[in-house]
Amino acid sequence: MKEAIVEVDNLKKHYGNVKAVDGISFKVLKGEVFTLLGPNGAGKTTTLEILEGLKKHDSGKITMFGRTLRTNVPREIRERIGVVLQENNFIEHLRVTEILKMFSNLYPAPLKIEEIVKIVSLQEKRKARVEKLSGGQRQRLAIGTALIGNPDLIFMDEPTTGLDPQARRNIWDMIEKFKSSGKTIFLTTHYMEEAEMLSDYIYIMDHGKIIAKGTPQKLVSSFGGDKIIEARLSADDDKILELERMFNGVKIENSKVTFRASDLPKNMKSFLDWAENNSIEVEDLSVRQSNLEDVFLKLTGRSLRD
Amino acid sequence: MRRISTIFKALFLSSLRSPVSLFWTIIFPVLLLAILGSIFSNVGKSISVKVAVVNESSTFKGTNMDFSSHIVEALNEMSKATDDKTPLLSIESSTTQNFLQDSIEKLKLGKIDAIFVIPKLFNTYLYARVLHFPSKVKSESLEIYTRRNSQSSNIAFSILDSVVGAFNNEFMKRSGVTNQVLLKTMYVSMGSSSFSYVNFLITGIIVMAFMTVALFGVTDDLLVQREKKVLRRIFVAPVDRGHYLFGMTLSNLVLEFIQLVLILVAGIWMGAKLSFGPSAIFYLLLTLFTTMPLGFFVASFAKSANSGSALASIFNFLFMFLGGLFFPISNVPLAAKIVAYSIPTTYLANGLRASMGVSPSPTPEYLNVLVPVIWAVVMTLYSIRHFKWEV
Repeated sequence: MKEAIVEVDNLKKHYGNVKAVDGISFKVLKGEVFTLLGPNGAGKTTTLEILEGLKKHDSGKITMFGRTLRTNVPREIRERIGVVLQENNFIEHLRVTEILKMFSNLYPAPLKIEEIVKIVSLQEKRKARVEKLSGGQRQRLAIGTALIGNPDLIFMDEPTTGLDPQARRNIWDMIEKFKSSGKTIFLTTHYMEEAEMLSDYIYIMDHGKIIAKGTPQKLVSSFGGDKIIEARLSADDDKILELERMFNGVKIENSKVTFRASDLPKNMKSFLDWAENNSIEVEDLSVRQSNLEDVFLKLTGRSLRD
Repeated sequence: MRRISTIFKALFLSSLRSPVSLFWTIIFPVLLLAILGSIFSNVGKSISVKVAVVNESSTFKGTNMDFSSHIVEALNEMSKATDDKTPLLSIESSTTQNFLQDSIEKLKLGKIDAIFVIPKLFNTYLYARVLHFPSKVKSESLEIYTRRNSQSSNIAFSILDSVVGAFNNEFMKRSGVTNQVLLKTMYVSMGSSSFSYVNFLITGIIVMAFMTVALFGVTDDLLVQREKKVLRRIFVAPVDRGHYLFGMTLSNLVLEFIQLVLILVAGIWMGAKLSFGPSAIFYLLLTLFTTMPLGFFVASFAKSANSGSALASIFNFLFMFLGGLFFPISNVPLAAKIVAYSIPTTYLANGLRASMGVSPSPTPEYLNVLVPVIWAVVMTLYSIRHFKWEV
């Protein structure tokens, strides 16, 4: 059994009537990538900021590295964690290596700056001032500052939001390397692919509550192993709405229709017959495995990106 | 300490590399000193000098042998305006010893520039000279009290000297007297030199420069970094708010020290003469530490970096112009005077000027310390209570 680095029990944080975090509990095990997955406003960042010491919680118990946290995160704990915030700005006019040097001086046993520069692939930008970096480079520097203290636990709050696909892929590669080096990673994201690809364990969060949890495979299989049929239809929206009465998990986006098929041959035949009978042209017909997006849709009736 | 020095180095380096920060904190005060200094360097030179005339001479009054009255008359003539020109002298005259004592105090305070004393037996002495009875009468010299190293006192001395010189030439020589009337100079020490606008300005610029760094440097370090979420990134690392505050304060103090050196170098180059005794160093430190909470105070009001910057500008202008940093505030309207005497920069400038020998302080010394300290304590307490590290 792996050691639990973070344990949260019945954590609550309310802003007036808004229950940002509404009694959630979870454990983060050593060496795993733990992900809080949910749409914007689900309470992921608030949870993370409470654990990072940026926000105070109203009630609940938090244990980190065996110590119960009360109002703030003590310095000894902060020396063992690295943080990548959603917005990563730095003191302006400093160079990449100077920023890393600054953070390195704050930790008792930091890694070498050159080593970090290499890990985050900023060798060519080591002398560049931070305000001259692109979004992806800035995010990599943020990861560098999180790693410089050689932390046991790294919090990453939506680390790939706003990045282009290539930059996002680079960050994923980095996270996988950290994981293979034995670091524990606490990730929040609203990208289903990201959670599915990187996570050992996922908690799906919505409206401040945990609505599902498990490994990616378990979450998808708990969905019942349904297949997903997707197609583009040349028909009026009113006509397409008929599909909602025929199938489960129907999602209509412009002229694109997605629905679950618990019995693929039967459901496919019904769908094609309906299209033929109504003289509706079917384009881009495809069948795929269900994924976390479908799980979230099933659980909440909404898309992760809604 | 390592954490404080890390924050200090980062913020200091950032300030040094920021063109905006460099201009406003380092270049602007020196530029302002150069501009105002060159435009107004003649201020004070055209002002007529004030002289107290103490005519103690009591013999031969009302006769042709009342030589002292001729001298006083000559001085009075010079104090009359002609052709709308400012008279060279402004005269206060009396005959008593009390008046002399009062005048010495005034001279020490810089309220007058010289005292001209005609001794009691002056007329008798001169009459004896004219009648060639040198051995029987004790020599009586005219006395001039002035301040050392005071430009206005020097001017007053020159005028009085020329009057005595003219008296010797025109009167004594014609009377066939070889031993002329002598002038005895008495120096009054006040630890202060004459009014010099550059000296006045440089001390004001020092207060302004310190205040500018505190207002804009500190609000930038707090509000801009808070708004850009830099502070929260720093505080999730093993750094406490105290470390940041100390590092930030240190960074601004070093900037202020650089400013001070540059302003002094520029000022000395422009001919400023300032004394640097323990009292001056005390007031410099007092100015440093009592202006520093200004930025923190403004930051505790402002919700954003923009509103902080606007608020800092308002404080800056108010404290700069009504604090009498560039021009004396003795002639401002009453309402402005009330504000002027409520703000700390007025007292800091007064204290600094008095301690550096620029001009005597129009406000009591204890207020020069007390008012800025009260401001600093109130601002610090308010800021600690109301500043929000997170928005």
